[in-house]
Amino acid sequence: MRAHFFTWRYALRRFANVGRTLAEAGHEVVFAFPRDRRQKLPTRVARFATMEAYDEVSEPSFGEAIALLRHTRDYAWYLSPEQEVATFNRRRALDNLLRTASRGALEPNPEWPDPAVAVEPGRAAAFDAALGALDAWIPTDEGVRRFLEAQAPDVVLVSPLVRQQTHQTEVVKAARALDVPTALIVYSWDNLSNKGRIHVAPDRVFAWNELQRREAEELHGIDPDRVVVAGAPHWDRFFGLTPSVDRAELCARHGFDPDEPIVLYLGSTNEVCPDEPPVVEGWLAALRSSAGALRRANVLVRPHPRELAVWQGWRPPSEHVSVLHEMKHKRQSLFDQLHHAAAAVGLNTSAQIEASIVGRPVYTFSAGAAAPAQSGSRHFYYLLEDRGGVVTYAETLGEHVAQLERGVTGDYDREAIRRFCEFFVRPRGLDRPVTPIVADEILKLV
Amino acid sequence: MRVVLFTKLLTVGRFVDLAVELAGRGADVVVASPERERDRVVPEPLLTTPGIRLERYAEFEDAAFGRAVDLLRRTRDYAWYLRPEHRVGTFNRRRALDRLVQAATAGGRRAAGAAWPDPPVEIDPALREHVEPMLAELEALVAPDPGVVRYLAGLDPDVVLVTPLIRPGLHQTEVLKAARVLGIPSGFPVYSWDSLSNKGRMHATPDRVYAWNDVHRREAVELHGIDEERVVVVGAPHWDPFFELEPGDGREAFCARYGLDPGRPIVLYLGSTRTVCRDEPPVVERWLHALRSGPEALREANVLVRPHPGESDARRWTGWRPPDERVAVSIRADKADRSLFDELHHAELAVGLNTSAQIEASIVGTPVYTFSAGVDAAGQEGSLHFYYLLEREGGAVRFAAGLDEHVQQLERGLAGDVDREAIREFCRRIVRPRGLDRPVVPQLADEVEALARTARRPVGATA
Repeated sequence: MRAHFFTWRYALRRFANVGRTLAEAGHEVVFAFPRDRRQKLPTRVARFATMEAYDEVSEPSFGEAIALLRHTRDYAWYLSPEQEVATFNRRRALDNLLRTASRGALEPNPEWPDPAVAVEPGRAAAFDAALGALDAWIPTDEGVRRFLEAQAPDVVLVSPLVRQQTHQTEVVKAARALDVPTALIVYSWDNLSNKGRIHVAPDRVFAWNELQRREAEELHGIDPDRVVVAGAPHWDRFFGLTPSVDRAELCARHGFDPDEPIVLYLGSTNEVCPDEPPVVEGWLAALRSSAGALRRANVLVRPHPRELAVWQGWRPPSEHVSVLHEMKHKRQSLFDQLHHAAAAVGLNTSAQIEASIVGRPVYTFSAGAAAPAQSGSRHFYYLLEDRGGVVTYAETLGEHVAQLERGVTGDYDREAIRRFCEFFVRPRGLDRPVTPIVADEILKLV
Repeated sequence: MRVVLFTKLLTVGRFVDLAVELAGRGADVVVASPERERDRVVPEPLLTTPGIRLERYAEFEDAAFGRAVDLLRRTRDYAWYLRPEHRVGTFNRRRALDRLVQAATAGGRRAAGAAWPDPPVEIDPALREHVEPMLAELEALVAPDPGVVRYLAGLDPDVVLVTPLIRPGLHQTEVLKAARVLGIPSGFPVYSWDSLSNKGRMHATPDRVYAWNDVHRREAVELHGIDEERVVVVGAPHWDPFFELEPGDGREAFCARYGLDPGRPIVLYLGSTRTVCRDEPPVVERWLHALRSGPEALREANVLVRPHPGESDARRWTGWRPPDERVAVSIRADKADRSLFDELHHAELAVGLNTSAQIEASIVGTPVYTFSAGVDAAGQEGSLHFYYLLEREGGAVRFAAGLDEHVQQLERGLAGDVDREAIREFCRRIVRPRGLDRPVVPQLADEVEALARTARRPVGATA
């Protein structure tokens, strides 16, 4: 069996293990990267897979036109009632649309209302249906079709698919035209709500959990028979980790008092919070004003790995607060920090899910306008306790400090965290690695 | 030779003579109209002339596809009306927006909000300039409806004609695209003087555009991006019979029919469509008041009001009573051209807001005047084609911004201050650019035959 995995270099880390499992079972694995992106395979991946580069579109004018159509459809999608809370996503979709339409010359006026136009639900659906029909009638890019035909795969895997910049919809369309089965391996917990819509349905969607199954069906109109709930394969290794450092050493590294609890602050991306240090400073001030354990607690600020530069000049405002300025062995260091922390806090980041794998309670507070993609993103709500998640949310810092005080003293529901982790990350059983499940499902599809 | 003329029963009247001419030359002529169009009276020659047959066809095999391409085309139309060339086209732009809203909501909403400004958002020129080619690319990517392709292939014509082509609710773009796929040459005889500016844009390119005149040629090239070599200026074929008409009645008899005084001049008011002026009677009443308050010649002049002959347009005048005895309403005749000719012939002057009868007036040699009806006639000054007829733009219609100025112009007109040579030249330029004495239909038939003789292109060619 010959599997072609269309993705890009940055995303590869999340699926390399699926490829390796297929390769170890004797199948041929090819990673296909867009020619204009970084293409070299990491050495460990090159041992079991090969790489092919392809042009995402044969003609730039085709790429522009199809992007305009799909960004228009994305924006219309964010006008649906289901996306009402997604103010941030909607604005970003409008931004994408305007940039595409103007070849980057224009962006939305921040003073425009949200939504820019009010559309009644039934009419938005009619609009979406018409754009979808138009997309379906547009033949796939001829170059992509020829590339796929020449490669002759038995199955085509795509991820992340929902980002229009990568034109992976063309791959799905081409595969369909050639009668090659296709599957989307969902890239992240936010991908089915946060980036845009699926424009052409693949034969299978390998979802992480029931929430994504529902999103696939309800938001993207995917036939339920095409959705397979498998779990999140890229966290298999995280499940297998053990601490690489003991608590005393970790405390020593950061100048912490080993007798006090550690609170781990999990930084978010620049998109979620464009200027996070002032938010953290306000949060720290609230912690230090507490009458309880938080007044003296150790606080480790772990920036989002993509945002280290934001924190370069930042100096902790009080004792026993430390910030990471570099991040070697990201996965292991996160595990160690979560393992030794009494509780974790974050605005809106996937590390909140990793905390549940380690069994740590997670808290969040409303950062308001300082974090537009927190409450303005639909997926933020998926993790909240009152929506069936595991993150304890507070409207105010006062309320948050009270919640966190209880958390660092061990007053939290460990079983609820475990249940959430199973539901969200490994729905087929916490002890069952997901990678082999996905690999099996791929083979079934073939 | 087999010619398929795609048109509507509503519009086929303008091409009956062409069909008869082609059939008379031995062509097999198929007149194909959309099957969903309601039944209408078919002009007799189409039923009785050997070599002509009528067919109905489905414009779309898949309704969802139809809605999708309609949305794309209405979007393109609106973007087109945002061009600087359409700056004055406020009426056209708003109508295009209405149609876009209808298409986007699958008919759930009939129009844009009445309070929406024009345009609803200021569109940066850079945005529009980028979007138009992208939308054009999408259009080019969409293959024609397969049912239309099969239908056309089954007819196996040597040439395809489509008209009016540019009209919402009509999907002849599919025919042009199907003809392109099949390598069949296609021609577009322009339906009316406003067709290339007033209804939207061409979404596919025919091999020939049979334009009436150089205004059309310029519009085809500049507004629709058609290669100049594809545009043939041939004239307006449907007015050939109008050129041949003679007055039916003497002036005495004509005036007697309407109770007018044959010793006084006649001013003919040419009504416009509801689209141009939603409620025309009050406009005419104000106009009449201005006339009757003016100089003696106009105070005493006969006035004949001719409602636009369209059914819904004429209905507005039901129950309207002329305000004085020297004002009459034209009797609706079965033969509209005949009655119009007589009315123009006997009138000293004609007045109208924005109607093609202003052009027919030039065929008869009657001077035409207009005045700004402002917001009461959104489709007058808000339509690009309105300006084509104005004297100051090289046309023959004298425009006044106010009724006082208009009355003064009419007074001078009644006094004989009329440039008849300019009217004649305008008629030649707009209606029969190849010569006033040369009927257009045979020339158009020649052009169609020449097009049919061009070699078929390879299937699928898109140039």
